Amino acid sequence: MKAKKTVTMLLVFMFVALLLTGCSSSSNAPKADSGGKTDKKVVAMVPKVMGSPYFDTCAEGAKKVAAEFGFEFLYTGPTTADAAQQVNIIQDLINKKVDVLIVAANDAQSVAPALKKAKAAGIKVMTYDADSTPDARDLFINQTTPEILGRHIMDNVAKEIGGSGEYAILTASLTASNQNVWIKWMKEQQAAKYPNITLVTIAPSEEDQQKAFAQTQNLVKAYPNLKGIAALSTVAEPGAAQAIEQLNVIGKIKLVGLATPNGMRQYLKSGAAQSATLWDVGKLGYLSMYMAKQLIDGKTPTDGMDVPTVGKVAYKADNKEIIMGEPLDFTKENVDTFNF
Amino acid sequence: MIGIKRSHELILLLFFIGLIIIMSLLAPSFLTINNLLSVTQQMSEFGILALGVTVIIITSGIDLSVGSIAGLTTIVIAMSYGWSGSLVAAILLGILAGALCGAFNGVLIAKIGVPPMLVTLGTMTFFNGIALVLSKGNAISDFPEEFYFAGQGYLFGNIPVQTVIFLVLAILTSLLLSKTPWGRRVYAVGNNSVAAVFSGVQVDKVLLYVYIFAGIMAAISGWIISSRVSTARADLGAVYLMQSIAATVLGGTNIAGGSGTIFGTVIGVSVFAVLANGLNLIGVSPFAQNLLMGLALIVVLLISNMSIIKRKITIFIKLNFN
Repeated sequence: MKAKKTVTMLLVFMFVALLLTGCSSSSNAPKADSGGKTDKKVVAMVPKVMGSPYFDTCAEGAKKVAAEFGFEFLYTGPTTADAAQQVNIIQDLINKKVDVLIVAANDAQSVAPALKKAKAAGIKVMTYDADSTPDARDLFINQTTPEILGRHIMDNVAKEIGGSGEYAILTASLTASNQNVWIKWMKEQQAAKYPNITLVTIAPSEEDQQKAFAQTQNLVKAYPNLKGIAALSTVAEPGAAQAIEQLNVIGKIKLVGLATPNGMRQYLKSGAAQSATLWDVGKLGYLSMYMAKQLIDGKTPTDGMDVPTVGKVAYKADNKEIIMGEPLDFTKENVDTFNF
Repeated sequence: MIGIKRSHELILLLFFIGLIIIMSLLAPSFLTINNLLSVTQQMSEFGILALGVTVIIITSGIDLSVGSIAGLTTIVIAMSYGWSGSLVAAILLGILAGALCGAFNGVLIAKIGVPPMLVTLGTMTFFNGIALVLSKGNAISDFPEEFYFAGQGYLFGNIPVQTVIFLVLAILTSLLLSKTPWGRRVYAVGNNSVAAVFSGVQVDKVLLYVYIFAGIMAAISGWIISSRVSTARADLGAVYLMQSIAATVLGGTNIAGGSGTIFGTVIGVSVFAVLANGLNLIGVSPFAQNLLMGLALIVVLLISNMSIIKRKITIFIKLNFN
């Protein structure tokens, strides 16, 4: 008697669960599992972490073009930026037999074995935003290169301070490899194009907004002729902007740097910062999906090829890498059109 | 007592079978040999963690540091391989490190008498801190090809190596608990530690070994994770902590101690693994997956405690309405 009741209860729960899963995925469930009959190509995009505005904006861009091409678009990833969890999801997608896999690797080495397995199973494998090892994928969609970014930031500095004068760099930490490469290219660009501009110092902010705030205060006091600051991390620029507001040197000291529009919106509007630079994340998603189509069609990308809405992109055949190209400046005028 | 436990395992087993049926209906690629094998591959890591956690919870303890121990192990293995060049020595050192971490927990809990929750809350951060200091927060990934065997290799064609390791460890743990005097003492301590003392059980010794055992399991789990993802990192294993505790409780181990079986834990682990894999195949968003997993846990626990709940309701009705 009791056992019977229990079984009934269980069946009821199963039924409810069935309904629940059925509802939550009714839009894509029947077609999504390509173990069966449809010939619609399934493209799966796996970000470093779900629920990040950066990656979600990217997925929006990808989704749009996937619909245009008539692809089934799947967007799934780990709920924390965890490499082990990401590998599990990639494995499941391999078993699901998707046609293309586009992954932003949490760790270049960690995802490599799973991606190689996907390749062996006949899946086209791409990486975007953060690469795996080159032998684990067919194509890497790179947003930009350190050279392009470094030269671009230097141009921004020159544009704001007017071709001559002193400027300082606020970096992440003095040993941060990304920042050091960018700084190297900034110096090259300065030497080549702006002989009248001098770099007075490179100050570390240790990826800490509070530290960036304090360092900026020191810079302003230590260098009375300072005309500009280039802040090279997503927390350094907001920190520097706060200091500029507080010291009331808005307009006297120009601020450019690398940061997200959401992080810089209020400072761009108050005039404490002139620009923040990153890339158009939505276009990165668009470009990834466009290249997925190329791979499905069996086409090899070419250097300088023209991609609709993205423009000309570079292709490095030796590393099978696409470079989207010019970064994007967020300013007072355009910052409200971006949300990441 | 035994009767109640058995019925919980039966309910869970029915639930598990129902789950498999639903998944195979909704996702055609679920019920394929390759997919099922990769489910067992995915569950092995936190399954092995759960084996240690089960033994601890049976003694009415808890261990929040197992995830950190797994992470620390990956770093110890990577670094000691770096300066010794011997993979076997490195893995043994890693497992030794796990045992030492467990012993550290055990001494504080058994000899000094600090509550397990407090001790392991502290050592969770402490062990993770050691791993972060040793690795300077970096991922280490210069392992030789042979290291990948445990996490990426296959036996007999297509059976994942870690599945076999998990099965062997599960059977060993089950035998330890049910067939040895040590196993009986573990249950005795969990049932009533005062009574255990008066029955001649050296409670502190039993507890010490229990935490060492969990430390070793965590170390083996860490070794497999780092082999699967080809990297050593301080935070590997952290995501499995709560999952392994949840799977243990789902498997019928009484959180107040005294009862629980490895068989139940293995089913509990399988339920979570099948849910995660099946929902991925169906295309349910990972956020909704957490919701469904939590719901499954609550429902199974409610059903298996139905008799108690019913009794409470009857008493409530009697007191208020008669």
